Amino acid sequence: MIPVPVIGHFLGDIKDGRYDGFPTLGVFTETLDNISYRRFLGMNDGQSGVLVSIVIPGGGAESSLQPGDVILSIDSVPVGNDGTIAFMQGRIFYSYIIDNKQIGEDVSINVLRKKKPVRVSYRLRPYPSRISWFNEFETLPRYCIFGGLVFQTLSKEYLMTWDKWWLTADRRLLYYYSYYMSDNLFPERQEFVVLNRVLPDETNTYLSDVHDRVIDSINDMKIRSLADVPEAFKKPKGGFHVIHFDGSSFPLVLRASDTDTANARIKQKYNIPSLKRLK
Amino acid sequence: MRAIILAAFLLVVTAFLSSGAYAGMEDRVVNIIVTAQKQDYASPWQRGNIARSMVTGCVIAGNRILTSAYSLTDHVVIEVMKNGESKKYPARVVINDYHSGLAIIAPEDESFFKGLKPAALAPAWKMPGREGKVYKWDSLSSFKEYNAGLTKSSIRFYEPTCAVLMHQFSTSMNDGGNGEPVFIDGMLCGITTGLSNETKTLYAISIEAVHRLLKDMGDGTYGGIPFFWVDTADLQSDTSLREYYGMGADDTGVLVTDVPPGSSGSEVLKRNDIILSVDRTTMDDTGMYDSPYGKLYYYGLIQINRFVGDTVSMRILRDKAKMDVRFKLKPIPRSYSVIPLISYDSPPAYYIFGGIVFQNLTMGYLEAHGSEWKQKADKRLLYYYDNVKALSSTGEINNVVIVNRVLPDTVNQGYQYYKDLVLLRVNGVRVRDLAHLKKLVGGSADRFIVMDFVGETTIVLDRKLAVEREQELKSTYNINSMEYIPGD
Repeated sequence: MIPVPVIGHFLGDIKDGRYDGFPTLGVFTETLDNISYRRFLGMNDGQSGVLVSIVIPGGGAESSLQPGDVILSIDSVPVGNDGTIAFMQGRIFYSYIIDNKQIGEDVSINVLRKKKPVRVSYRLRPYPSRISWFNEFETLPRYCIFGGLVFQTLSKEYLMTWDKWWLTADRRLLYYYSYYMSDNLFPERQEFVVLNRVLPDETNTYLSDVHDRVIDSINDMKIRSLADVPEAFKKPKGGFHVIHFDGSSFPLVLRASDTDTANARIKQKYNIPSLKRLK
Repeated sequence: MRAIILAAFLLVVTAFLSSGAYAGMEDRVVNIIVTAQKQDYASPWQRGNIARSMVTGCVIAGNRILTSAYSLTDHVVIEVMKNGESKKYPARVVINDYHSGLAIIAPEDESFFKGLKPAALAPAWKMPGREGKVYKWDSLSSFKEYNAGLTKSSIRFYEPTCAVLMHQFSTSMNDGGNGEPVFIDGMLCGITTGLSNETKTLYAISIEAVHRLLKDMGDGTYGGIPFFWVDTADLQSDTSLREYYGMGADDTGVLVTDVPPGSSGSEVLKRNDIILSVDRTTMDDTGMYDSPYGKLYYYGLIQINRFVGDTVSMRILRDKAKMDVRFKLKPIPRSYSVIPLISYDSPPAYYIFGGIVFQNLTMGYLEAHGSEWKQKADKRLLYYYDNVKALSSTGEINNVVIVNRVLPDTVNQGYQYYKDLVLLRVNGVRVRDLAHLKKLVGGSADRFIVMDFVGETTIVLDRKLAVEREQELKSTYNINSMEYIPGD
């Protein structure tokens, strides 16, 4: 059963005719159950809170919070060392406060920064995921096909195309999905562009077994989003399109003079209405 | 009626012939009883389960017994028996080479060999036929012979650095692959090292590997299979790719994609070189060359009949120009991979501080997740494993130090669910290995020990409190020692 506060949030959200979802605090935190850790941070034994470990880029808190800050209270509600706040007769995780707010509302936080109390306030934003982990119903996947190479973005939906995906999907993709934020993987990438598979054609004969590679660069241009892919293919190098992916120096090479005719041929052969959907 | 009689007659003759075929073979094949104690990666201060297994060995010249190295893993006691006799002779390991998959053992009492005869080894590259026989002792007293038809020969790898020539035989054997010798025409042609019951395929280490091992041991020191850790990719005859690299119409070879420092050839080979031939033997665009056993992967040219100190020459294509390079083959370093890829026979190293159990990430640690470890282990650890060559090339660390788990105690409150964390720094210093970790923690005069892990996780312990809790932790969890760091 979906509880009343969530229904209330949903109804408040759609008042402007559009569903936006839940905001994020903009940081990841660690609990501070350990007394030695609290003392190391300069907290007295009566104080409680959670530690900011990661400030999410684009998450709204970048200019307000820093790694190492201790969040003592959120909207004046004190936060326990285990990350909980008082709720009805018991306790609930602090994200409850944020989940009850709408995107665009303000939050005020008391922090201990370098052992001194500081009060900060900022506007809440949606979670800026570089790898979408939401269910993307009714959303058609974005793609771009060039020389029979099918480029897509890495998302949970993409990984879920594997049967028992958590166990069987490509291990690099699973690592990126699980740890890209905490391990700060390729912060310059807005999203991860994946070569999903290759539609076999005479222009790409040796590539037909290549699949599920994360693209690093095309024609020496670093790929930061799917929109970069068609741009990068406009500038071949010495008569070749050269594609590099993560984890190997082995390039994929297409002869540039062939690709226009190949694109037209592949479009017809595989009955593809459009070679790209970037939005 | 006549037909039936004839068939029965034939059957008797066949049975007679087959028993005659292996007459004398029971003097060359012996039973090995291996008692092994597994490592306990969850609680590294104690040892794991004890199990006994039946393994087969083959008598070779010099009062020695040849068997499969992987049948002896984590052994504590080895005994040998012969000819259906009940007496068990204790034996010692002369050599256990996990790189070639071969082991040689010797009973302490040489009278064991009375009545036994050494097997004749088939010459290298001249297999006497394709129809072989595999022998083993079943239930100690009955000697069994199975047919084994050669189906394929290929280069296989126990470790990514070591090429071993192996043969595959199709067989009717149900239980085996544990060191049984394969004979063709009365000559030893291979030592089995695995059996797939699904496909009825028996895997055998080639006689070439046996010859290499024996010759290598001949001078009293064993150099081992030479070290070659260069990564290459197949060019797969693609015209665009060949044109891109400036290959001529008749040029074929493989593309060098990674040259880890320390590998043989690392001083002369470069990324994007194309290896065209090894010692004048050319290879195709999938890296295969012609051998008496059919097409083999080019690592075979560097490792099958080669020894540490040998010189290898290669013709390569670099920046569209052909050139010849030569290099000396180096031994496999004791530790070349930051994740040790073979971790048998030695208990896992560990270091416990404040109840936090630190270990090295090793193959044994990953495999302790069970046969589906590639699915079940932590995704970050698997990524490190998959990219171990790049990780080892930086030279920054000797081992990947991880938190195996936390033994709950008041001192580590709040950290008790941590597991599989990768340690980066202690009090700001990058940790190179377990011994370094111990030095940093033990040598610290600071009040707090601050441990930073990959993924922005930090553990802070009060050094004095953690030391004070040591005795209590030892008695609660029945730990005899807070550390085992070989070589420290």
